[in-house]
Amino acid sequence: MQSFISAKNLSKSYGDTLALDDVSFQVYPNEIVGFIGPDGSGKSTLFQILTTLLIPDSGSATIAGFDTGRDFPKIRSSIGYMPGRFSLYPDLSVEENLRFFANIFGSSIEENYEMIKGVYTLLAPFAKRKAGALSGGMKQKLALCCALIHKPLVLFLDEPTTGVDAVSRTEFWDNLVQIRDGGIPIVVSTPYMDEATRCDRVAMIYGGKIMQMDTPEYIIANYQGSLLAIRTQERYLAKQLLSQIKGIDSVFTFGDAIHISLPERTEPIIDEIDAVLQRELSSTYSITEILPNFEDCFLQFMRQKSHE
Amino acid sequence: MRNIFLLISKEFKQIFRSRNMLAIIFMLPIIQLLVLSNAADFELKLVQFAWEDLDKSSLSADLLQKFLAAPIFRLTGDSENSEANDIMLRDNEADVIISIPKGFERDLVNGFPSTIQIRINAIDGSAAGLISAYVGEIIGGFYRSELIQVQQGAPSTTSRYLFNPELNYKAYMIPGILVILVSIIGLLLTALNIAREKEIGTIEQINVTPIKKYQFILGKLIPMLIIGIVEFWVGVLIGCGVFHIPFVGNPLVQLLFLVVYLWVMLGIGLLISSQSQTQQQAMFIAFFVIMVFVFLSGLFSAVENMPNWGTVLSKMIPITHFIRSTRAIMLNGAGMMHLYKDFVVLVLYAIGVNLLAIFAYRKTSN
Repeated sequence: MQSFISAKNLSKSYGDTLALDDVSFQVYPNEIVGFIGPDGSGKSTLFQILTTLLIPDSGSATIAGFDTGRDFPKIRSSIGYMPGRFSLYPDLSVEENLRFFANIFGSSIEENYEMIKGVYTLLAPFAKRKAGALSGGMKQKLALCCALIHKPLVLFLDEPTTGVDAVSRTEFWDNLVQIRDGGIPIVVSTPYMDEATRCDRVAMIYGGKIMQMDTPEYIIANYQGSLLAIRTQERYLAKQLLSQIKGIDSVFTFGDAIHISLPERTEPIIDEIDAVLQRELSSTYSITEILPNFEDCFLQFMRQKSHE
Repeated sequence: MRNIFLLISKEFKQIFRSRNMLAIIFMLPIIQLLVLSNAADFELKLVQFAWEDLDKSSLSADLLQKFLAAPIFRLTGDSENSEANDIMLRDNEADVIISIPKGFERDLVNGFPSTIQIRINAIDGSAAGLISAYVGEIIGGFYRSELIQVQQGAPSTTSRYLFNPELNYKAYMIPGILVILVSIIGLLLTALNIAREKEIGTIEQINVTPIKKYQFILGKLIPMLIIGIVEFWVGVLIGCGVFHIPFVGNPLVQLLFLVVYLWVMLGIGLLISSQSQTQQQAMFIAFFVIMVFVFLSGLFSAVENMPNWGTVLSKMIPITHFIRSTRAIMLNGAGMMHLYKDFVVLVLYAIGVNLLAIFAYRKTSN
């Protein structure tokens, strides 16, 4: 399949800090590609390069065949971009913001209403309200509308769900799926691991490098080793005990449980864990084998990366 | 063109929506003009004087009567003790000591010149100069009226004040204050407005649109230009209506100067905003620039009285040229023929500053 976005060997540093380190990837039509990584991993820099706001130190990227450096005017008029923080005029109303962004792209709300219908129906009751007075979830919906109103060829959303409540986030991802189905590929970044599974493909980015890029199902299925969850009242003591046992990759607190990742599931080591806990803990505990989620995969990749 | 129009209409929508903005743009300058014009007034209203009469003659008593008859002079001390009088001077109980020497009457009657000593508190230099002139005038008048063979044939001077016959101090100050207010609005608003787009991040959104660099800049500058022009003429109306300042010159010439000058200020504002990331940074730099402008502009002190380096600096800043030409147009009715030098300087500034600003303002960071 012909790729829609193609990035080759992108690097960018700020002074001594290497923000992007030789990043290459492809985005195909009709997919949502998520860039997932902690703060400072290079997501925003990558987005600024793709949206022509930054020039990379080396490497190049094309969107729909246009080069982000040479053809930036063409790209600017054909992409939709939602920056990492709310960037609309707080003193203009919902409708005025939308109209303004439609007009500067030579379009109008009426002409492309179909594009935003799904999202805008929720916003319509607040059309006269100033954008600055909206709630977090509503602001984000308005920003999405403003990025969509000129019928872009592709959407770039930089951490669109940061600081938004869980319900709004779910709604927002439902909207994104609709938009993708309408034929607009989406490139989205997020620090939330649970959102990874809503993407068609995920790029795990850390320290300016893409560690892996694939479907979330594939990444989870390829988790190396196995995971045990231990539930007990004495989490702190248990964690200390467990970290002294040899043959365990890592021990970390996960919600109300302790997760242990093993390079390989073997009976002797499970017996040893059981024995230690039996001897030292005064209260009851349980050991269960669990399926890894995306966050476990990400943490495993991060550990491997930092060991290198 | 359409994009610029869209940006301008957006800008006006934002300005007219914000009550604070409206107050800052329109109410504040009007109030400042009304208040400052009355406060920034060097006119001498009251002079307290101590009388130190060592002669105690009828002629010296006559001279004292002359001072008492003058409305602005008030007698606060009458003693022969010169040390006590100096203390009064020090303690601000007297602004001036007028000391009549022994033998004052005898010398005058015999036709000898006599010297009256005046001691003035010169902490406020310009007030001291005025006091000296007033005292001199009364003493001069006394010599001419009462006397005497000595004065005959002595040269006497009279002054006639042109262009501002009633010595209306406000006529001199108001054009200057007006210029400062317009400068502050033009420079500060532009710098803050663009810095605000950076601060709240909207510039990032705008950058990823087909809007071009020059369109964004013009979309910011044109509304500020219009506001500056409106504000200036509102100020002129207040000056003429409330303070009875004459407007002798050609309004079109004034408008031409104003537009060119505003471009200079807008350009400086643009330059400041290109170097700041937040409104606060922009505010500090703009404030500094305005302070320098105000003090070197010749508004509060005549440029001719500055030390050499001050005169040079003063000539280098655009506001000096605009204050001078505004005064000349409003009060003397000067035309382009007389002011072309100032005009050329302002035009050069407008071009230079704006080129620099456009160069400094880059749409793509890095």
